[in-house]
Formats: sequence, C-alpha cells, structure tokens
Amino acid sequence: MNNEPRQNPYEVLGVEKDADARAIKKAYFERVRQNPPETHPEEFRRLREAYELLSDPEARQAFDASAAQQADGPAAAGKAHLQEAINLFEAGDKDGGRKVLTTLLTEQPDFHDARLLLGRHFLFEGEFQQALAEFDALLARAPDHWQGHLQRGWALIRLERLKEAADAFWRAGKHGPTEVGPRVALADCLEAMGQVADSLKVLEQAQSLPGISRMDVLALKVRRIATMLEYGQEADAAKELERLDAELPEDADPELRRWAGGQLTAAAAHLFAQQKSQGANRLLAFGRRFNPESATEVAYPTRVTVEVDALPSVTREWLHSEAERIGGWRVLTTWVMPAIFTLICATALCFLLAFIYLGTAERGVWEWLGCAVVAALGFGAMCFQARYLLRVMASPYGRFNTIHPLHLIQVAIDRITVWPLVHLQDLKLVEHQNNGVYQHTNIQLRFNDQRMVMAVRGKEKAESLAQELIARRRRVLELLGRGMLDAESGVEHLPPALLAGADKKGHVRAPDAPSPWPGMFAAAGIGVLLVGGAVWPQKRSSAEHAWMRVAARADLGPMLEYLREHPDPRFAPQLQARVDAELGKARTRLEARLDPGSAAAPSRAFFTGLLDAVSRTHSRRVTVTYQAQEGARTPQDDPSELLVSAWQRAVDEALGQGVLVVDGGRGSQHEGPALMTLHVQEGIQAGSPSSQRIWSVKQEGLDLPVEPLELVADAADPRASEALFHAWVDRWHLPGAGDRRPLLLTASTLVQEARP
Amino acid sequence: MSAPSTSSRQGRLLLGGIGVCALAIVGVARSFTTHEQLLFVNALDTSVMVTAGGEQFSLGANEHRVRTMPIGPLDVDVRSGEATLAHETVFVTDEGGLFVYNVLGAAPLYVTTVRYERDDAPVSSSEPSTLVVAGTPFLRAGRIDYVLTDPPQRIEMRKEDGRYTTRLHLGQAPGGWASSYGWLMTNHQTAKASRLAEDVWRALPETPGAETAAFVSRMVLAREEGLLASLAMTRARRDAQPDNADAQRAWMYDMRRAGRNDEARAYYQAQLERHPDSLVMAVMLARAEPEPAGTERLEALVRAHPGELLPRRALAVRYARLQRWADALPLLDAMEQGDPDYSRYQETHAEVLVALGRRAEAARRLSERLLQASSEKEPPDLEDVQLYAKLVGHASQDGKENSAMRQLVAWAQKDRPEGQVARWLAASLGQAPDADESRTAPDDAVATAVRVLLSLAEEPEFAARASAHVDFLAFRHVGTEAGMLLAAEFERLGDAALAARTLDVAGVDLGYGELRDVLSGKLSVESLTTLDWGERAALHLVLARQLDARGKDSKAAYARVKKELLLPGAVTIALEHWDRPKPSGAMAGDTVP
Repeated sequence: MNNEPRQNPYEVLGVEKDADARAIKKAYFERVRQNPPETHPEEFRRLREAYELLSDPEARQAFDASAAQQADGPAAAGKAHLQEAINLFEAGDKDGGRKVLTTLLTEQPDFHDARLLLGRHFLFEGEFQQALAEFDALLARAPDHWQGHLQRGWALIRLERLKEAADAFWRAGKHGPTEVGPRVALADCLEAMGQVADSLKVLEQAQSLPGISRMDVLALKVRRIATMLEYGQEADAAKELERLDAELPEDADPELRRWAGGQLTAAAAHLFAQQKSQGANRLLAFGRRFNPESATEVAYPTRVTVEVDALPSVTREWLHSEAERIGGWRVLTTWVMPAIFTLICATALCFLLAFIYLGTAERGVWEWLGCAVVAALGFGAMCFQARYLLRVMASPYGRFNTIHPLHLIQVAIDRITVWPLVHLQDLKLVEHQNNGVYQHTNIQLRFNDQRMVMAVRGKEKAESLAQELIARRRRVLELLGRGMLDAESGVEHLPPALLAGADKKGHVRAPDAPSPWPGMFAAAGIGVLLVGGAVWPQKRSSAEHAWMRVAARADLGPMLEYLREHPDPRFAPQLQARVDAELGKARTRLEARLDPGSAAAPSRAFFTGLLDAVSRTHSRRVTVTYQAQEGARTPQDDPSELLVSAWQRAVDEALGQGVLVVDGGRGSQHEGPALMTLHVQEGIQAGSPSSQRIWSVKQEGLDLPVEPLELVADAADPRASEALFHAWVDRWHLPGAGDRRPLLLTASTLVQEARP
Repeated sequence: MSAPSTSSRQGRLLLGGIGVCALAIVGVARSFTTHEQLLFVNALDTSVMVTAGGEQFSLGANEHRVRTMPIGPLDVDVRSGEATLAHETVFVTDEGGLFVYNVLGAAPLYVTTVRYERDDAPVSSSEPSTLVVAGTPFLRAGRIDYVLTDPPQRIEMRKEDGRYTTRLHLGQAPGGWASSYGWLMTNHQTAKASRLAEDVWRALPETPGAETAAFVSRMVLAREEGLLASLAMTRARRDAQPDNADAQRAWMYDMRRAGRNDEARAYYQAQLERHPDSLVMAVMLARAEPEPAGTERLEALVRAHPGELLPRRALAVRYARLQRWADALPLLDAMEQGDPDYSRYQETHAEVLVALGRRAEAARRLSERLLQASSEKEPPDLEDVQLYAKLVGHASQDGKENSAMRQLVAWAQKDRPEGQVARWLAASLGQAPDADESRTAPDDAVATAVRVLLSLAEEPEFAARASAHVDFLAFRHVGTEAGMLLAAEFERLGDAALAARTLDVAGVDLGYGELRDVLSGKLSVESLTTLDWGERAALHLVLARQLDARGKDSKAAYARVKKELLLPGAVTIALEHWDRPKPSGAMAGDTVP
C-alpha cells in the first residue's frame, strides 16, 4: 500500500468540489492523455486513485464529510484520531491503527464510528470473527445503529451464515428506513440464498423508500434487471429495459442518462464476471443509447475474424510492432506448406487433365458429365488455393498470438481472430509429453460458447501467458464496471467499432476486397470448357486404343464386334481386310474339304453365302431354335442342345474352328445379332400303326440356296431324332451327308454323361 | 528482423513455378505410362537378331531380354543369319502388365500362382495352378511378380495379407519348342501346337522332328474338326508327297472312313495308268482291290521288283491276313534282316511265328533284338515291350527266367511314373497290377489306358464309362484290338454315338458304316483284309455275343474266335471276364432295355 499522505483528489484531477461526474471523467481522461501510464506510471496511479474515489458517490460523500469535519467540527479531536487511524491503516501499520482506535474506544466507548472503523478494518483484513465481535459490541450499546447491523451482516456473509446475515440486513433496513444500502445488501444475500424472487421483490420495494433519490431508484432498477438477466428471466428483463428506456427519454437530463449508462455498464461487468455473456452484451447494447460516446462500452461478440486489409492504420501499426516484438513475421515455414499443398493440387489437376485428354477408355455421356463435374470442382479448388497462396505471399505476417488490453488476438497470415477477454470463462493448461519428455503446453480456453487452443512451448511461458490472460480479464471487467475502460491504455489499437461491423458469421472483410466466388466460378467454367474440348480428341484416342486391343487379338470375334459396334473409318478398312483374310482362309478350307467327290459338295454355295454375309454384316452368329408342339416332347427329350452342337460341328467341319458360332438363341452379346436363324418346329402326326414325328425346318435371315423342309420319322423309333437330322443334312448336303455315322450324337445310352 | 516483402510479383512467380513443377511431374509420370515392358524370349537353339520399335539387339540361344516399348503397333522382325524367322506387327496395348514376345512361340513358358502361407497357418493341400502360355508368339501376361526367375522360398508377409498371399511367376521349362509342342498337344490346344510346329518347320526346316510334329498336329487338328477336314488334310499330303506310302495310306484310311473306297480305288487305277512304273500306286491299288486280284498284283510286283521293300512289306502283311503263314514267313525273315522299317512289321512277324507254333522262338528273337538295341537308342516303344509280354503270356518280372522282361520294363520305364509300364503291361494282358497307381497327371495317356484296360476286364458297361472321354493319344496305348472290340460291343448294345466315337479315336481301319454292316450280317469279317487277326477276332467275338443275345447257337462262333486268337489281348480278356449275354431278342442297333 502507499504510505504517502493522501492528496486531495479534487486537486489531483484539477476540478471544483461541486464538479459533476461528467466533468470529473472528462478531466481524468484529459490528465491521462497528458500523463500516459507508459511514461508516467506514478502520476497515472495518482490520477486513477483520485478518479476512483470521486466516481464512487459514497466514497466522495465520506471524503467531503471528513474534509468538512477536519476543517470546522467541534469534535475535531475524535475525528482527527479516526483520520490518524485511517492513515495508519493505509500506510500498512495495522497495529498502530488498531491501537489508536482501541485507545479511543477505551476513552470513549460510545464513539460508534471508531468501533465501526475497527470492525471494518477486521473485515478488510479477513478477521471476520473479530469483526463480528466488534459489531456485536457496537449493537449491544446501540441496538438501533443501522450501519452496525449492515456491517454485521457483511461479517456474517463472510462467515457464510447467510440466514443470520439476511436477518442483520433486514434489521439494518428497519433501523435505517430511508437507507438503500441495507436493502441492496439484503437483496444480494437473498440472491445468494437462491431466493431470487424475494431478492427482486426487495429491490422493487427499495425503489419506493421515502426520500430516495432518483439516481438510487435507477440504480436499483438496473440492479434488478441485471439479476433478472443473470437468472434467465429474459422476458421480464426486456420489459424492465423498455420501462427504463421510457423513463429516460432522449430529452431527459443528460447527466442522469449518462449515469444510468454507467450503471448498466457496471451491471454488464458483473454479468460478464458471472459468465453471463449474453445478458451482459444485452445490457451493453442497451446502454449505448445513454452513453454513445464511449468506445468500450459496447456489446462484445464472442469471436470476430478480421481481414488484415480491413484493419485501420493504427491497428496495422500496432500489429507490426507486435510482430516485430514477438517475431511473428512471415518465415519459410509460413509459406512452404501452402506452396506444397498448392503443388499437390496443381499436380492432381494436371493428372486429372491428362486423364481426361489422354485416357484410353471409352466414355459415355455420364462419364463425360462426371469428368466435367470433377474438373469444375478441381479448377475451383485450385483457384481457391492459388488465391490463398498469393494472400500468404502478400502478407508480412506468419502465425502468432498477442494480447490486446481487451482481447486475445490470433494472427494468421492475412487475418486476425479477436477473442474479447470479457468472454473468457475457462482456462486449462494441458501438458503434452512424448515418452515422458515434455513437448508443449496446450492452453485450452473457452470464450462464452466457443473453445480455442493455443500451443505454447515452455511450461513457464505457458503459465505466465495464462496468468496474464486471467489478470487482463479481471482488469477489463474491473475497469468496465467502473466505466473507466475507455481510459485504458492501448484500447484504441483495435477500435471496438470495427468488431461491431462483423457479419453474422463473425467476419469483417476488407471493404474493397473482391469476392473469391466469381474467380472460382470462372475457373470451374474453364474446367468444364477444357473437358468439352477434350471430348473429340479423347474419342479419337480411345478409338485408336480400342482398335489396337482388338488388333492385338487374332480372334475373329473381337474384330467383328469392333466393325459392328465401333466402325471407326480410320481403322475399319484395315480390320475389314483382316476379317476378309481370315474368311479367305475359311474359304480355302471350304474348297478343300467340300471336294467335288464329297456328298457335301453341293453345300459350298450355302457356306460361301454364309461367309459373304459374315464379311458384310460383321456377325458370325448362327442361331438354331427348336420348338416342339405342346405335348410332343418332354424337357428330358429336348434335342435343341444336340442340334446346336451338331450344327457347330458341321460348320467347323466345313470352315474350320472359330469361324462361325452356333447357339440356341441365347448367344453372347459380344457376338451381336444372329446372322442366320434356323427354325426347327416339331410336331406329332397320329397315324396307324404308329405316330410320326415331323420336323419343319426353315432358314431365316439370309438369301441362301436351301429350301424349307418337312422331315418325317417314326415316332416309335428311339433314333428318330438322329434320323430326322440325318435327313436334314442329306437334303441340304451338309457335312455328314451320305455318312452313316451318327451326326446328332445323342447322349450315350451307356454313359449318360458321355458326349462323343 | 524486418518485415518480409509483400510484393505480389513474388507470389505470382512462386505460383508459376509450382505450375511448371506440376506439369513436369505429370509429364514424367505420363512418359512412364505410355511405355510397357516387353520380354523377348528365344528358346530356339540358334541366336536371333531382333528388330523392334527402332531397336535392334541379338538374343542368344535360350536367352531372354526385357525392353521398354511404346504403346501402339510394333513391327517385330526376327532374323537368324540371313533367314527371316518372323516378321509381324504386334500391338502393345494400354492394358498394362508384362508383354511377352516369344520367338515363334517356341519357349515353353508357363505362369504359376505361388502361394505363401504363414508359418502358423494350417497346411493347405491346394496345388499351385499353372497356365501354359507357350505357342503364342505375342501375348500380354499381365502383372507378374517373378519373371523367369525362381520365386523365393520365403517372403516377408504383412499383417493385412492374412494367412496366405499369392504371387505370379512366369517360368520357362527346359526343352525348347519340343516341350511347348508336347504341352500343347497334351492340353488339347492342337491349333496352337499345329501353328507352332508349322512355324518352326517353316523358319528352321532343319530342326529335327519339326516336320513330323507339324504333320501330326495338323492331322490331329483336322480329325478334331471332322472327317471332311481330315480328308482334305490327307488329300493335300497325298498330293504333296505322291511317293510317300504313309501319306497314301492315310488318305486311303480317311476315304474308307468316308465310305469312298471305290473312289480311292478308281483314283489309284487312274494314277497307275498315268504312271505305270509307280510302285507306290501299284501297291496302293493292290490294297484297295478285292481278293484275289490284290494279292496277285502284289505277288507280281515282288517278282518284278525283288529288291523293292514296299511290295514285299505289303505282300508279307497280305499273306499274314490271309493266314498264309508259311508264305509270309520268308518275306518277314528277309525284312528282319534288311528292312530299316522292320519294327513296324515285327508284330506281324511274331504272329506268323506263333501261328506256325514257334512262339518261344518269336519271343526270343524279339527280346534279343530289343535288348541288342538298348545300348544304342532311345527307350523302346511300349508296344514292343507289350508284344514281348504277349508272346511270353505274362508281365511278370520275377525270377531268373524273366530277366529279359525285367530289363525291357526297366528300360522302357525310364522317366515315366514308377511302376506305370508294369501296370500297363499287366492290364493289357488282363492281369491285376501288382502295385497301386502312383500319382500321375490326369491327362497322362498311359495311365488313362491302364484305367480303360482295367475296366475292360470288368464289363462292357464299365469300359463304356472309362472310355467315353478318352482321346486318341490314350487309345494308342489301349490298342486297336481293344478299340475294335469296344466299338463293336457298344454298337451291339445300341450305343451308336459311343461306338462311332470309339471307332474314330481307336484308329481302326474300318468305317462306321462297315461296322454296322458287319454286325447286321451284310458284310463278312473275312472281306476286311485291312484288319489284323486281333481286330478280326474282336469282331467275331461281338458277333458271337450277338448270337448269344439272340438265343442262337454260338459255339462255332466262339470256336472261331479262339482259333483266330494268336496272342493274348483285349479279346482274351473279354472272353475270360465278360458274361455272355442272355437271350433278349434284341437286335443290333436297338437301345439297351
């Protein structure tokens, strides 16, 4: 504590004794500007003490009374002892002060002010029992001493005897029927006991005390509103605020309005301290109408992100100085990681383009649409990342944290995140270790409903930073409560009005900064255009590769499929030539195998026609369908598969393997539509002595020299199918004609599974 | 420390540099994806010069080399000295993986899946799968982990691999093109085998065995495609080699199968008129002519050309078929002394000696000749050893008296699975094999023949199941006598499909139509002069069984069978083991009730 004799606060601030609160505040700010704390810390301290004394109405009243007594009163001797004791206490001489008071009370036991001072001294020093004893002694001599009851109540509160404290406050109110203080104390006590409704009622009743000043009434109303907001009675608080607004219209006494504004700010500071940020901000926002000049008594958002370009010059200069002080300039690690990420994005984009332009797989409409969407996204993302890298390179800052008198500031390249300390509600230090070796400390902070983490290397550094944050917050709330935050040094470095300009998401953008969206959309459009430009060359390229894949295989099937499905004019002639060469080999075989002496020689024209059709239609599929009249055959006796196999053997025998493919109508989709379809319709003709099986055979699809057949066999003959097929082969002079070998090769009767 | 520069130029320069780097990275990566690894393998016995994609390099005999080639068409030219072995355009596609250029498709390449298991994994009984990729000059092998190197015995496995993991191994077996050819034929990839043999023969005509391999594979392929294909092939060979009696015989055989005997006879008649001095045409005409004109023509030819081997061979065989044993013997004895192709007639010679009551002499002469050749040439044909076993009447190797058998079996056994030859000999004589069958490949021809012969000793139905899927390679070891017996019996039982197939794969010189005519009595067995006595006995046995089935007296028929049986074989087995059919009134061609 200071041991200098107290100076006259009016003289310190240079104001008259009847100066109003506004004049006092104005004088204080003027003097502070002349004597900033950085260069005149001692003078600043004196100015602040003087301002704190005069801005507290009770303290100012006591000072004025004391000064008057010292000058004029007949009881000046006693008062002089009291002042002597006060001075000793302020000088830190507790024993000396107590001795003076004890001596005084021994001489004048009914000098209640001395006992009251001694009790308050004990209370101040934390010796609550002794304080209570002094107040009890006072009340034993003067049971109606309302201040004695009031102070006793405080002592009981400190001793956590709330119920007795409430009783003491009630008695203080009873014996001081016009005093506001006991009522407020009672309301506080009831609130602490959880009897919020009773507390609000006491505050309401206090407003109608006889002779109560209007300022006290306003103070009680604000206090009541704050209590309501603290306990979530938002609707009631809103009504009360409306009433307060109506009570203090714009044309009301300006001083009274300012005073009310100060009360609201103090209540807001109380709510911030109680971690009721929302309510506090509401009071601050409401209070702006009474105190619009204040730069700091405004609602504080929980977090605001501000682009560096949006900062005023004063803030930029401050940031520069902080970057210089902390070492927060852009360094290699600041831009290398974004550059690497940009390189990855650019490489991925180039790969995507290479895939789109040079990919060899055939693509349909949906694939191209997918490519367009992916390219649009890729180009948009690339544009975003490139802009970010340019911003990194255009900003002098790296990443660092600093503390403004009102906020915690996180600087990240080209934007700062502002965390107002009034919202700081929780702080934890978490040490991170790896295999028992300390790595760093995470400072976990909670601002209102949002969390943030700061990694700090060094335990002591982290603890020091945490303590600084806590101290800063305490000081901010203290100054806010006293309405003195405007005078805090450094506040002007980050104008709170800037934060008020944040959008709903808490961002403050530079006024002339272009929006990133048009650029990103333009980039996405370029991506889509590039995909569109890739369609034609990629189709040519994929067709070329498809042709190569076909050409790499010597099989006739893929070549025909290519000619049928993708007849690219660049490659079709070559492939057609290869097909014709393969068919030419088949023709040569046909000539050799169906020699003039062969019974199958007449079917040369039939097979030649087939080969011509293959060359022309690019299909080599022959379908043999078998249909039986209802009841004519059973599924176990169905020769359709045997017919297909027999026809496959016949064409292989004439042309060689791998030229034509015979199926029963369910061929592979790679083979395309049927070149020729052979329909076999089986019927039964009843007769005597036995029935006849009839096969109606006809060809469909090609103009070939074969006639439709009606073939008949004895239904009782177990080899009827073989006989019918033999007849068919003989009539059409197919391979096997004139041969007595079984052609249909019905399943072996000895070995069911055996198929020759 | 002062504030760094905030010039926008710096950022733009950095951004431009990043763009250039990205393009460079993509360009380099792209250059890798536009090329593929191409493995050139030369399994020929000669070094070759390969020109591909603008590169020229030599590949020594049995050497390989990996080259990176661009995706797209690639002209490959392979030369050996001045001769061009191959010139073709192959296509390296964008499908990725390893591409293989196998010169002429000769290298016996295979791809196996190697399975690696954790030490604590339960023992797996699964066999590694092997894919033969020989015979194809150019192919895409795909992702291969070990290229022509032995895969390691152990590898490090990661946790995510689970209990086992697999790797692909591209290997090359020893033996060059002959191994590839053998694999392909065994795996029924006849077209590939034919192409390989043709290419090798065309490119390197001096290669031993290439011409034969090309012919055989062509034959097999044609037979797979049908009678017309086979006939066209043999006709082409007949025209290409008019003086080759084997080529003429093959065409005649196909003409007989096609039922065009008259046409064949007319052809030879015409050829002989055109070339009156042609011995081959005269002998072939004698084969096609009915008796006695054919025999008379042959006797005239032998008289006119006493030193010529061809008429003598034909006449010796003809005498044997006519049971004129005494006339045949001097001819065969003479052939034994001076005919380089005598081994093809030694069975006829043995039959003649047996018919003349000189079985022991036949066995002795055969064993002496075989054992005498043992130090000079490759292992004997299995059929020679089988003939010796038939002559001695058993396959036993025990005792001093069977030392010749022991030596012959040991010699023939050589690289075959242990005991296989002995089992096959025992089965072919209708005796139960001493040893169990060792583990053999499922498509091993001799093992398949053993199974067919063992089933033949049960019942015809058993034999049907065993022989339904047997190919002609295996039937070579079953024998034409068994083939004829089974085909005729299947036909008698009404299974025409199986009968036709069996007749086809057995290689018997008899058409299916002729078989049906024999069984229906339209054609006598004696008229079939191209059949040997075992085949005739088989037909007679089936005819006797047909009589049994019809409830007729079959004693004479069985007596004839026994009379015709000179050597033990399939017919002996059937006589011994098959139950005689009960009379049912069934007719040839009917299905089994």
